[in-house]
Order: sequence, then structure tokens, then C-alpha cells
Amino acid sequence: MTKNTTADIGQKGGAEAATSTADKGATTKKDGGVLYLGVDLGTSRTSIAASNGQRVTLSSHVGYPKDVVARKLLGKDVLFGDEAVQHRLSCRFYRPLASGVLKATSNEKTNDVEGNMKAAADLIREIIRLAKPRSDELVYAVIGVPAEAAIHHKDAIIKAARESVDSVMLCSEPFSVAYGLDMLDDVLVIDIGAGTTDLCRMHGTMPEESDQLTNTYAGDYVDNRLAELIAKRYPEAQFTTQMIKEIKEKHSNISDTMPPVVVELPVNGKPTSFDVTEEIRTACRSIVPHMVDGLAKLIATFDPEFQNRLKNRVLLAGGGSMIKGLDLAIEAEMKQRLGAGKVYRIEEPVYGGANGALKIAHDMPGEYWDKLK
Amino acid sequence: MTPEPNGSATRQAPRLSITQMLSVMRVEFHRARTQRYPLCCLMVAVEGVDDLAAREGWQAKSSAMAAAYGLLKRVAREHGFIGMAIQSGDRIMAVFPNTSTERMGELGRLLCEAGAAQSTTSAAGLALRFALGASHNLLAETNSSFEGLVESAGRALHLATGHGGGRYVMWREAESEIDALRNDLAAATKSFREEQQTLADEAGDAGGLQRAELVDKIQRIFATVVRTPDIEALEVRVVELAVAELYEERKKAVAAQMREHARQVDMLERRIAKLTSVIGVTEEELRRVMELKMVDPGVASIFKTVQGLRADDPQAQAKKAMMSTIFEQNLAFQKKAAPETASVG
Ligand SMILES: Nc1ncnc2c1ncn2[C@@H]1O[C@H](COP(=O)(O)OP(=O)(O)O)[C@@H](O)[C@H]1O
Repeated sequence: MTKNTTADIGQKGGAEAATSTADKGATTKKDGGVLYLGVDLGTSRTSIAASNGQRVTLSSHVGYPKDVVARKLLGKDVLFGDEAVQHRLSCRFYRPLASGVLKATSNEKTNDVEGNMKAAADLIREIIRLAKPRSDELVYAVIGVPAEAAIHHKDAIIKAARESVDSVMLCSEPFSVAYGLDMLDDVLVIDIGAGTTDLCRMHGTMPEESDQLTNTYAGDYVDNRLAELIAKRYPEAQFTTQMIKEIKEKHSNISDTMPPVVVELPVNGKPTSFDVTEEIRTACRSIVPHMVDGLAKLIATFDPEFQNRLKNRVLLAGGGSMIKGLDLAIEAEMKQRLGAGKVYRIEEPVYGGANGALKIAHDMPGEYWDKLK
Repeated sequence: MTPEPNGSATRQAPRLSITQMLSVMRVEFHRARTQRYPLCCLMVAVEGVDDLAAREGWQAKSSAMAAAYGLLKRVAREHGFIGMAIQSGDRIMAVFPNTSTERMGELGRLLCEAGAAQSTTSAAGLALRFALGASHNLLAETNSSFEGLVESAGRALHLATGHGGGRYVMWREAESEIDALRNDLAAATKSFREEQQTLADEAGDAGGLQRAELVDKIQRIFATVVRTPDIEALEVRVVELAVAELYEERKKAVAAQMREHARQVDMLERRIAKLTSVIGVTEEELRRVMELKMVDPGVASIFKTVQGLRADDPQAQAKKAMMSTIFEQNLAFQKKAAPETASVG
């Protein structure tokens, strides 16, 4: 947000006119108001933004204590987020959105489909609960799901949500990010998650299949690259994937002038210092060419008249967009290969999707909500 | 601060949506927190606005709210604040960065006065009677999250409403402290009552005393001498005397303890009374609000009615089409889901 927007701006009854028509069709029994929820159901994080000012984010993990003892110890039947990660050894542990079970593209036969679906449902219920809806309010939710919109079992997600809300809609996550920023026209959204990077072209209408591209050069890929590079240069260093991920999230940077990064990793159990500056830069940079490949494809198949405009309106979102200098690196690569490029970074990578979904919920006419009840 | 269009070329309207306003406020909140300056959140309701709407239509209510917002702008014109009148939520919400609680209180008082003085010019020809709730970011509960700040202001507003206007309540430690004190008091009273009962039972139980150690010792001494009727009578009298003495002393001890208990209860009660008078609300009101918190009824939405796209949204046309596409897609999911659910399990 720029400083300029801190003007005091009276919200006038512009919406009231729309409201009165919407209200006619409403079969409203609740009279306590209307609560809108925007949910971003990500593979690695699930976040919610609500029209009561609540905002919550959880890592997308669910754990069920394995046995009576574990349950007693943990004092709960279900654990969520980091708490689930922490106790994963004494739990049946799920990453419901990452498992591939809910994705159409997965042809693996995972045996615990039901478990993952239940975990996804519990996660949705929990995130909605955390937004503190009041029982006397009409609750309408929009849930942004990963762009491989071909998620299977959408019904499972909808069913779970409907237990806690009056009406629910799904929409694709990069779209909700762009909508939240009012960038609907000639924009390319790059949403860098853990498992996938989703590219989505916006041109004033709902993006279609041909407007979207997905590749796996995302957060996890960077983690793997970083682990490889460190192992190659320092074979004696011992580490886990989780440690590598933490190092990345703390120091991720690809600028040529990045400050040196020295981390402590155990060698035979003894903490030892290693300079990993170059490794971090290389690993983080490794996704840039693939992104520009995708951008190039989406640009090339767009109306030539607007291609330049599109090049100059690239929006970086998702947790992976927090890599420092990434915007400049993509710009540089775009300029070299496509002749032009301007990349913007979204202000709040964590809540970008949820904020957008909330805005969609707000803007959705009342009669649509009614019809889906 | 006057509204000024932000420099962004993509946004044609300087007006922000409520969601956007909230995020601007949130940014201010976090800035205040990291830079450690005081910030207040104010909520203003116009008393009787619903009756007004019922009598004269929503336009009357709308203009009352607009007038209220105008007054706030006038009163606080030297203050940079971020505010919005939420039509459908019947309130004005504003965040005042760099504002102390004293200054906020003063602004609150000025606003109430300005509202009362407006009697002739208000839309409905009535004075604007305000209820004001405020919170500041200097408490643990209000400093750790924007939600906490907003929630506290909302509670303060709840305390301030229903009094015919002119009421300003700042949510402060006092409220939370009173809550804690009242819990202490309840716990103390309960344990005192139990203790008192035990003491009273003990003190009244002469039989118990007779078995006391002193009696035992006396009897042992008498057992060593040759027992004549005189001596036996003497023994009885000595025991009686000892028991009476013991009883008296026990009673005194119990009384002293009771006095101490009473003193403690009194202190707690007085502290509660004092705090309550400081914040200018009655015990009853406070209890109501606190009970509200206990059941955690959730946080109210800022919307009272279904919203929908704003007619003046610069991209209304495109958005409308998008909303309809999203709806169609979801309708299709729902249709597909219905027969499928059976086969899923
Ligand atoms: N500061 C950071 N620098 C680089 N990567 C980050 C940072 N913070 C989070 N990430 C990465 O972002 C990814 C998660 O992004 P997110 O948008 O939350 O994913 P999803 O949409 O899949 O839920 C993870 O791979 C995580 O490691």
C-alpha cells in the first residue's frame, strides 16, 4: 500500500442499491449480518481472510493421534498446522492438498484416499472456525484452490465447507490473487507455491484452460536443488530437507550483491559453519528460466496487439515470491529473451489468495449464493 | 486529512473497498507496532439510527451516517486518520495513528458535543446522538493483533450504546483487570466460606476440644496420683477450665481470621468499585460484556446485508461476467457432485 491511500474515504451506499435487489431473492433466516470468507486452500499453507477482520494462516498439515496414549498425551483428536508437524511421529499425518490424491493429474493409486479427504475436510472446518463466525450470521465463502483446477473430489471440499457455511464457491487461486488486486486486464500472474508454479493469464474475462500453465519448478524444487548443491560442495555436512527449507526461507536471495550467508550444519554431530551464499543464489535462480519459458508461451499465444502490455504487467505471488531479487531476475531474463518485462511483487504473499477470494465473495450477487445453498 | 487519489494509474476511483480500507488500517497497525507509537481505534454508532430508518426510510439513516462521518472529519481534521462509514454496518470505524488515549478521549468528547449541537442541521432535524467505543494498542490483547484491537473497540462500543448518546468508552486495562479481579473475588469468597465453616465447626465442637492434647496431658498427670473423690472433682474442674480456655482462644483465633478474610474481600470489592467508577460503566454492564466474551460468540462481520458488486466499480462490467462464470462453474460442480458423492466412500 502506498502512503497516499491513507486518506479517509467514506464508504457510501454504492453497494446498497445492489443489495436491495439481491435481498429480494434471499431466503434469509439469520438476521445477524453477513460474513464473507475468503479461503486460500494451498498445498503448503491454508489461509483465511474474513469480513469481520479476522485473518489466520495454517500450514496445510493435519494429524490424528495414532492411539489412545498419543491422544491422551496430545489432548486432542485432530492437530493442525505446525502443531501437527511437530507431533507427526505420534500421528497419522496428512498433507491433504499435496498428496496428489485430490489432484486429477495424479495417476498414482494412493491407498489412503479417504484419509486424505477427511483431512482436507477437517482442515477446511478448522480454518473456518478460526475466522470466528457468529452463529447468527449468514456465512458465504469463496475457496481458492490450486490452479490445476482439475482437482478431483471438489465435492469433498464443498461438502466439508458447507457444514460450516451457508453457501460456498470454489475458484482458481491465481485468479483470486489477481482479482484481489483489481488486476483483471492483461496481467500475467506467477503464483509460486511449494509443489507447483502456476502461471495464469488474465484478460478481462475468466481465465480458461489455455490461459493457465503449471510447472513443478517451485519451492520444493528449489529446496532439492539447494540440498544437492550443498551436499556436493560440503559432503561432510549433515542436514534434513526441513533444515534446508528453513535456510532457504531465511536467506533466499538471488541478487548479485546479496550478503554472504553462513549457516551452521552438523558434521558428525558437531555444529560447523558453512558458507552457502553461492548455493542459495544458484538454487533460487534455477527456477527463473522455466518461469520465463512459461511466460513466453502465454505471451506468444496472446493477441499480438497486447503482447507488450502483458510483458509489462507480470505479477509475482505465492510463498516462493518472497525470494529477494526474484522480480529483478525475471525482468532481466525477460528483457533478454522477450525484449521487455516489468514484474511486480504482491504486497502480502501469504494472504494474497485469501484477500482476493474474500473480494470475490463480497462482489458475488446474492442470488447466486442463494442458488447454491 | 482530505481524500486524495492515489497515484496508481490502474485504479481510477480514489475510493477503496472496505476490504482495502481494512488492509490499509492493518498496515498502520503494524507500522505503529514496529515503530512503537500509540494508535487508537474508534468506532462510532449513531443512537437510534434504526428507528430513524424505520420511520423515515434508509435515506434518512444514510444521511445521518454521512453527517456523522462529516462531523468526525471536522472534529479530527488536524489528525491524520483512516476511517470509513460502513453504511450497512451502521457504524463508523477509524484508526488514529500516533494518538494517545487522552487525545482520543478528547476527540470523543468533541465529537459527542458536535453531534448534540447539530440539532437543527441534521438530516432528520434531530441531534446526532453518538455512542463511541475506542481501544488503543498498548495492551497485550490489543497490541498483538489488529483483530484484538478491533474487537476491543467493538466491546467498548457495546458498552457505550443504549444510553441515548453522548457516551464514550475507552477499552483499557481496567476492564480486563476488573474481570480478573472479579474472578479472584469469586474464588476467594468461595474458599473463605468453606474455611469459615470448618473453623466454626471446630470452634463449636467442644467434644473435639476435650480430646485435645492439653486435656490428655492433664488427665495423665492426675493418673499418677492417688485418686480420692476430691481429687477426681478437682480433675473434672481443671479439665473444664482448660477446655473453656481453649475454646475462648480458638474463638479469638477464628474471629481474627474471619476479620482478615473480610478485609481481603473488602479490598477486592473496593478495588473493583474504584476501577469501575474510573471507567464510568456500571457493574451490570461490565458483567454483560464479560459474559459475552466467555462464550466467544465470534467476531461480527462488518456487513449487515448481502453486498454484491458496487455499481460504481470501474471494472463492474468485466467483474459481473466473471462472477457469473464462477457461479456457472460451481453450479456445474454441484450438479456433478450430487450423484458422485454416493460412489466416493
Ligand atoms: N522467505 C521465503 N523465501 C523463499 N521461499 C519461501 C519463503 N517463504 C516461503 N517460501 C516457500 O514458499 C512455498 C509455499 O508457498 P505457498 O504460496 O504458501 O504455497 P501453496 O500455494 O502451495 O500453499 C514453500 O516452498 C516455501 O518454502
